Amino acid sequence: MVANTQTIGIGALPLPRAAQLAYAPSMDTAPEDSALMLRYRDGDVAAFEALYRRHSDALYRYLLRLCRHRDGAEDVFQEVWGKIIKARDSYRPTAKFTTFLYRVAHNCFIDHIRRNKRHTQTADVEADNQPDTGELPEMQVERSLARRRLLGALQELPEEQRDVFLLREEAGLSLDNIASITGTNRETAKSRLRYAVKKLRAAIDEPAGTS
Amino acid sequence: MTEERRSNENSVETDAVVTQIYHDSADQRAPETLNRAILDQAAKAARPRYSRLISWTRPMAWAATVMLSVAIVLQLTQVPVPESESFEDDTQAVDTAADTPLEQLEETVRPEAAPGRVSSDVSSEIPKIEALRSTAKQVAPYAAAEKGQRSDQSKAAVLEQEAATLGVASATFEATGCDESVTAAVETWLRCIAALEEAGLSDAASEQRELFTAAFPDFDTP
Repeated sequence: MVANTQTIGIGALPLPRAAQLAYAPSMDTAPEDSALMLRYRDGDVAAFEALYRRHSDALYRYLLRLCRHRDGAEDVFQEVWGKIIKARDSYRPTAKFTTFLYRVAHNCFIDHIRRNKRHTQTADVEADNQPDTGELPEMQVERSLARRRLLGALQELPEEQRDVFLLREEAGLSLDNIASITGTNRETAKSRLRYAVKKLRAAIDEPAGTS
Repeated sequence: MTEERRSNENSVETDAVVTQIYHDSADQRAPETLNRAILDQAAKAARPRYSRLISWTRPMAWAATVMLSVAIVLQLTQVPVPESESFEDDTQAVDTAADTPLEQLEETVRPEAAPGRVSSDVSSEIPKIEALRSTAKQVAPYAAAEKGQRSDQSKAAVLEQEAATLGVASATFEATGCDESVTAAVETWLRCIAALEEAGLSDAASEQRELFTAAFPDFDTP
């Protein structure tokens, strides 16, 4: 996918100097998210596809675990990308694209909660089967059990703590960015994250047979 | 220093075991149908701006064309005849004069002359009439060329009508000779003489010619 994104938009038409600077590749081989978004703003659909492929799965998991309901998560997921598409003309690369994306996702999730109460329904997100990793059967069973406990505990977390943990793990955002997205201060975000991690760790470390 | 402290704080808030187990279980992927729908939406939204422009400029262009056409048609139908056509009217009048029989022209020039009366100053008027007629005939081709709109069919019809008129006149002259109504005008009298000669009535023709010469001694008969 990276190789694909590198060839995007190297077209025959010369770009204006401002656009050349905006599109200038960084030291990494993959273009920046912001550069891809700017290219999409100028009509390069392949740039958007690259951006989408880069973030879609993590965003989908974030919303799936936040909503705890697949249909709701898919609705919000589509709404988020729809807003990103609509916002392409007004997009300015003043902040990380990931922060921008998850801020939109967080707000869409809040709207989704307000619109309907589906998120209060019983969670229908089941743990997926894990591929064979070549581990010993006992270890596989142990890891599978740990995963199940963690996902179960994650569903039981308060919404704010779950949100902060997912922003941390799926988006890889810093506490400052998480605080900015969730509309809290840094200490609150830090506290929520600490509690979330503590509960999850406790669930994983539960003695066998208690779950 | 602050950055370092923040980095340490961040690491305190994470748990490697939790992170690893979470990511082991994080294998859900967005459904491909959803991916396709979103990418299609993105592609549709990123189509060139001119397509959006065309969506409203095309009907507008059609509307403008229709409005202009209607305006032009109304202009053409309602505006009075422009002055450039006055020349055509003049040439038409001249053309009509060229086609008018000589006796009518005589009456135009000398309306007080009563038919059947041979005036003493007719001979003085004849050159004027002839000059007017020759001028009209000279101008007539130019007028016809200028008009350029008279069809061959209508010309043929006019010629046919003239020929029929002449034929009727010849038949009348043959039957009745040159009576007073014919001898009242120079042109008709000369036509009558010519018709008699053509009909082979040379005696009657010469008799009429003598009478004509007596009536118009100054007129050069053909």
